[in-house]
Amino acid sequence: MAIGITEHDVRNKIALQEAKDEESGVVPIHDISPSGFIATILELEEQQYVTP
Amino acid sequence: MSSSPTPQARTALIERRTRLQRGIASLRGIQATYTPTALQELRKSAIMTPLDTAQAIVEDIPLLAPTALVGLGYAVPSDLLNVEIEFRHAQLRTSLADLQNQLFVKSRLITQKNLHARHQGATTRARGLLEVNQGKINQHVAKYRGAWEALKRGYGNNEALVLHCKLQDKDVVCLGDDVSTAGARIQGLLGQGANIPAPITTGSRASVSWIWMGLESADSAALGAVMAEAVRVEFCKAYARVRRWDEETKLLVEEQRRILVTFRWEAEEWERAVVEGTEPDAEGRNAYAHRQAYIRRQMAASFQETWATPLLPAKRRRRHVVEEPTEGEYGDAPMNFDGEGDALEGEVDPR
Repeated sequence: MAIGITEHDVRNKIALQEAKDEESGVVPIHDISPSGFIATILELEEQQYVTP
Repeated sequence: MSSSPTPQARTALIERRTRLQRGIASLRGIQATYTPTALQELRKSAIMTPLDTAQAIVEDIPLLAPTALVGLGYAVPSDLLNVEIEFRHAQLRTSLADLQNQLFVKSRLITQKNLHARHQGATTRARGLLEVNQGKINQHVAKYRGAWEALKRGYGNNEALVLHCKLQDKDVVCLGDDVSTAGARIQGLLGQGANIPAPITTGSRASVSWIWMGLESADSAALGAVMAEAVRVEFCKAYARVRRWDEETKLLVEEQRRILVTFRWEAEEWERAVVEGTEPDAEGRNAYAHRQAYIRRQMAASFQETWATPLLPAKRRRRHVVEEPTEGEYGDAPMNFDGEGDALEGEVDPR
């Protein structure tokens, strides 16, 4: 079923943007990019939802 | 989890919690760089709640995503907030699709259980499968609601800006399926006292929950423009059902006509067996034939009377308009029940 943009698509898109920014000389403030940070939060949140 | 977890299930739970605990610990490290206010909030809440109750279950520890911080009144870099909002919108889409999937599985599992599971072993197993599936449904519902609430906070508590529906408990329903609606129909025909299991899902009369319309059409402007595949499937099933029952009623009328014709013919056959004669048993034979003919005519009259009263009260009777297939659509001519048919000669032998 076509559901449109998924989380993976979003992450992919933002990661590409971040890579481009870094090439143009933007210094990252952390090893993990902003999108990686948000993705980490969402992943942990999903783990909290799991019903055993 | 079931009431008495096995040691295996218990171990899995502990391991999952430990993994989550470790993940949260490393998240706090990243938060120190990106959103230091999160750590500030954590310290504050730790002071507010006494130490013994602070031993929270790891599932309930607030993660303090940017939108949550915005909701608590902290300032968050707008680019971070926008990234989260984009992710949350994607979460709405995927969780809804997953939810549809799991609900579809649920309706199939229920059908399977009702049709095939007999006795304790099979029933328990089917129940277990349903329980596992329900856990997944709950998970997707929680994800959708979490994403929805986060978006609401991210947009400054303005629900309208979220653009998508809030997921209520009443929205989480399967599409109607054959078994449940057939049950409802029979229930309607036989009245409330009839011993038929109640429909499990929404029946053919209920409107379909918005979750089946797809997310893009959740706002009323686009409603109806996009129809999810599942809804189309449901429409086809309902349409086929209407067609089938419509045919059934046509056949029934014809069957009733034939019954009367047959009785009349049988009665005439018996009357033809009456003989003018002087044989010693002629009187008895004629009496028997007359009696048989009388029984046939009585039965026909009684049927005619019964059928004259409608089965359903007037307000329940509806005229279904079902389009006839255009000629040649199914490769054969439509059946024709009009006009007097032959009286099925030779099929019934009265003697």
